[in-house]
Amino acid sequence: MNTTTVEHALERLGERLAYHREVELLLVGGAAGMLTGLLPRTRTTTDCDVMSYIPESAMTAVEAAAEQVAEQLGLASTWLNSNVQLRRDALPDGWETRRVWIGTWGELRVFAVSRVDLIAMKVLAGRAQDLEDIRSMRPRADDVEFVSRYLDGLPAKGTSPEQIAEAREVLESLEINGCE
Amino acid sequence: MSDRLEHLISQWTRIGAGFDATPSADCPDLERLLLDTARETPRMARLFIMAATWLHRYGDLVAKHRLKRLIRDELEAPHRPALGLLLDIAQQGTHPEQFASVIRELSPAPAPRPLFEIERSSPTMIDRARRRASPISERWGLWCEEIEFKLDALRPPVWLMKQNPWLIARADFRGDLRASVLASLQHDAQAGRSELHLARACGGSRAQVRNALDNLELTGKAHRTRTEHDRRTHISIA
Repeated sequence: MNTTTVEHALERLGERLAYHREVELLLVGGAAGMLTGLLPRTRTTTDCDVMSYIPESAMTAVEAAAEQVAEQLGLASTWLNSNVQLRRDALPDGWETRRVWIGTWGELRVFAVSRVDLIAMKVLAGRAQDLEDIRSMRPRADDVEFVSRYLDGLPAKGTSPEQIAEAREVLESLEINGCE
Repeated sequence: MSDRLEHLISQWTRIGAGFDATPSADCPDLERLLLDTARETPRMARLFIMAATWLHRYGDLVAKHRLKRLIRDELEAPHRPALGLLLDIAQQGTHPEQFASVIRELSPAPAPRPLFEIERSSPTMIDRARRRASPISERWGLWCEEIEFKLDALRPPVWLMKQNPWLIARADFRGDLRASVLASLQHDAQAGRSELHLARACGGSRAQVRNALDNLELTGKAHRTRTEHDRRTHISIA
């Protein structure tokens, strides 16, 4: 099977979405990693975390269309959700220039965060599944430098000092891989 | 990823856990799937989270008597705390507690440590896992942080039953002994040879099993046959 469940669902979403202009989504989390080929498909789940909608006013229409797709494909009604938007501070600055285009279906253009942004966000989240994902992405020295600068900038965004300290522990424990 | 883990994931996908994997072609043996999940859990956190989510939502489908029997006979002692933690997390917020009778068969790890291998990689990570451990995981001696059920990645009941009609009877029975009888007849090789074999396989007493079979026969879900030259009662799924 070449098309993943998530790609299939996004394709249906594009077909169903009724909006007066083009809509852009930014995916983060496991689905972003899987769709960009950074994480193995079978290690990720079919839910999609949307960090950003352009325009923001399209969110309701997209989520309504996603619910219809869920019914059609037998997915959870909230397979596409915006819960992570509460952690907008976790998105590294400059992500717009690094985002990766996944596909365009109808009026829907879907992007995922880049590899280095995904690593940074997963270092900050620091749950066991994030640590496993980071290991799969084989971080390099330049990734570690990027994440370190990212963590330096988080106090200004209101991230708690405890969370940043724990993320630094994760960063320091990473096994660094050379360029291949 | 190992073939064993891939197979586990495909079985979970078949019963509605939302991994982006190809579903297993065979009907999973649900109770043995839980045993295998406990064995593989340290290697994949998302497997543990999805299993806990599935059990939280669909715990009624587990044949509890048979699960207890399999734990006693097949699950190696070092893997029992992980299963205990999995079931204990899954039953949080359920009334009555879904897996209380099964959990009584299980004990915590003798030497506390992180649940997941990824958090055992260095003294710093071990200490971090200990600090972040949820109270429930501390009780089981396998540290992991509070698990958030991943309901966004779970297939709905309609899909589950359509793809797995064998689960419908289990849902009707809410995991009681009749579910264990049917599961044993389906998955345990010798279970149908006699009532005694069936009782051993499904974890009930002979009297309880006979009673369950009376009901299953009444509703057309099982058959008992007795041949003249053999005093045993043979049992099969209808």
